[in-house]
Amino acid sequence: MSTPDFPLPDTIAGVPGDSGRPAPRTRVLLMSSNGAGMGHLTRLLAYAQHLPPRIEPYVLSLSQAVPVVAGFGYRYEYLPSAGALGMTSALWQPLFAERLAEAVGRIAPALVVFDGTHPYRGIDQARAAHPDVRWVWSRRGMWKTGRNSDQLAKSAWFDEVIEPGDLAAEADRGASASAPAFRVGPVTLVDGAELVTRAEARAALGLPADGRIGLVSLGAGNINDTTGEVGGAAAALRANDCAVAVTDVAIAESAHTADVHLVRAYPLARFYRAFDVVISAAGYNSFHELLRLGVPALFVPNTETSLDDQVARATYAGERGWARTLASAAGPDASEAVRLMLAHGADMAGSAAASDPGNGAPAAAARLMAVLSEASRRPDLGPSDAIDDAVAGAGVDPGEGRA
Amino acid sequence: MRRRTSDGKPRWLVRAAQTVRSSPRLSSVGNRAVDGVQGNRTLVDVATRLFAFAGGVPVIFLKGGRGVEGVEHSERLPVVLIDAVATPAEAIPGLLADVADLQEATRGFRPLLLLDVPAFREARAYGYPMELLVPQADWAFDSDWEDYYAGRLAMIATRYRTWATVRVIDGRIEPLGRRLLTGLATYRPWDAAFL
Repeated sequence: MSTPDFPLPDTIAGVPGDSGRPAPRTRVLLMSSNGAGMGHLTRLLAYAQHLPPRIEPYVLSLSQAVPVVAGFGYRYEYLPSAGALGMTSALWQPLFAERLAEAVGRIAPALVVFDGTHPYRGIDQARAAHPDVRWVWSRRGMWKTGRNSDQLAKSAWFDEVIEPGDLAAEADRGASASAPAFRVGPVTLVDGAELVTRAEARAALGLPADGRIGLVSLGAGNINDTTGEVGGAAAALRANDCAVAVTDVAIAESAHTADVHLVRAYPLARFYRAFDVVISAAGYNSFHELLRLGVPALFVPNTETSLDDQVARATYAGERGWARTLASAAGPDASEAVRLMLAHGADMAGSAAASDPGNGAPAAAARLMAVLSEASRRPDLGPSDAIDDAVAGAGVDPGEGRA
Repeated sequence: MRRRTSDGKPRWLVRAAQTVRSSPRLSSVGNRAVDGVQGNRTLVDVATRLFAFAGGVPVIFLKGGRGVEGVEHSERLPVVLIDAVATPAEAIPGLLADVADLQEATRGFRPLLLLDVPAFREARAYGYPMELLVPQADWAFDSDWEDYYAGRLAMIATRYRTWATVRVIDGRIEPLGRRLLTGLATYRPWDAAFL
């Protein structure tokens, strides 16, 4: 696509073979649904970062945030969601099915990885139209009790289901918790070794070098209204002598005070050391980035999600002493919770890191390669030399994680 | 027992559809019934008047943009494809402002953008839906880019039920297309009574 304003790495052009010409790379199509936030895309990027160089990740997304993948050197395409178009499901599904079948036929991946909790009808049709392609469902857990169970039957559309782990998995009471899947550790795009120093992070984000700064990441809201979540969080930070950082342009532009800083970076997690405390919703990505990276966190779960049980996830973290959890950032306890996190948050976050089994992305990537490897041994799936080459050296352990 | 599935469909309807799909006999009966209706000019005429067209303009639920907010039954407004492929990124804001001006002046169409630059933020600001094409310069597939482009145009015509296509040349709406859009201030067949 046209967005990258940087040279693509050599791997995109192909790995030079014996003849000096680029060797063909095996394509893996990473397909994300259009959930709230960046979770689906970020998880797929985490997998992509651990795929061997002979694999070319190619992204097809229903999210308008998809251009961020160009920053990682990956090509992408956009397929508008029903929500983005304002279409009814009955009108959109044929559109989706037609576009997906065309894309899979043209991109010719050996493997498609769908990250989402609701596989759309049309995936089954694309699979039938391209029977030589393998399909994997990346399905995070922690579903609200009694929700979405009808989607589990769609596991039959896929050759494998990979479940990215959850540090709060013990609290998972959803329908997917007991469903068969290949389970890996919690998946994050950023690991601790990639964090930049506090000084570098503040410089990169354009933040003051000195003084306390708290990040508010609670979605949209009015920062000037202290009876609301965003405004309440900002007030709690100010009461503890913290400046406020936000990621939402509209929130920053509407602020009446000068201590509100807009921070824009992806992935922002690399710069978490810029902040003394983070007040965040408890979606999969934020939750695991904050806890795996040892950031003092105050979770305010979003109860409006259709499926993700953020309350269960955040409550578990609070019970384990990894973070503080509040039902509302606008309540009377918010200021005291921020004070507590500024004083003890680092130790609390450290205890979460001690419970961290490690990033699950490498194991998930290895499993993807194993699915390819298994496909290459099936005579009904056509020529396999390219897949074998791609899989070679990927350190595949096909059995680990099966549950 | 919840009455709707996780994606909001009435559970009874989903079950009925599953039952029909899973039964060769019921599917066959259903297909014969549909074939019978489709072959009957009177029934098709009634159905068309009721459901499919408003005065010859395809009816479709699709975001219309800020310029037609408040328009009653905006699903009847014609969808016009604004084909801005090969328009440079720096020309997109001016183009969208132009489209928005025409839309506000006429309140007579809903634009669907076809771009090859990811101007999502700009399109969202106006509430316009958009399709994104792989740019010709980035094409790296065995097939011809022109065939891919033509295929997308065909898909758009089918799935979005576009009423007309207006080209953008050198970052500007081509003159005939501008006249067509301007004319929608007074040419409003969708305002005609249904029956």
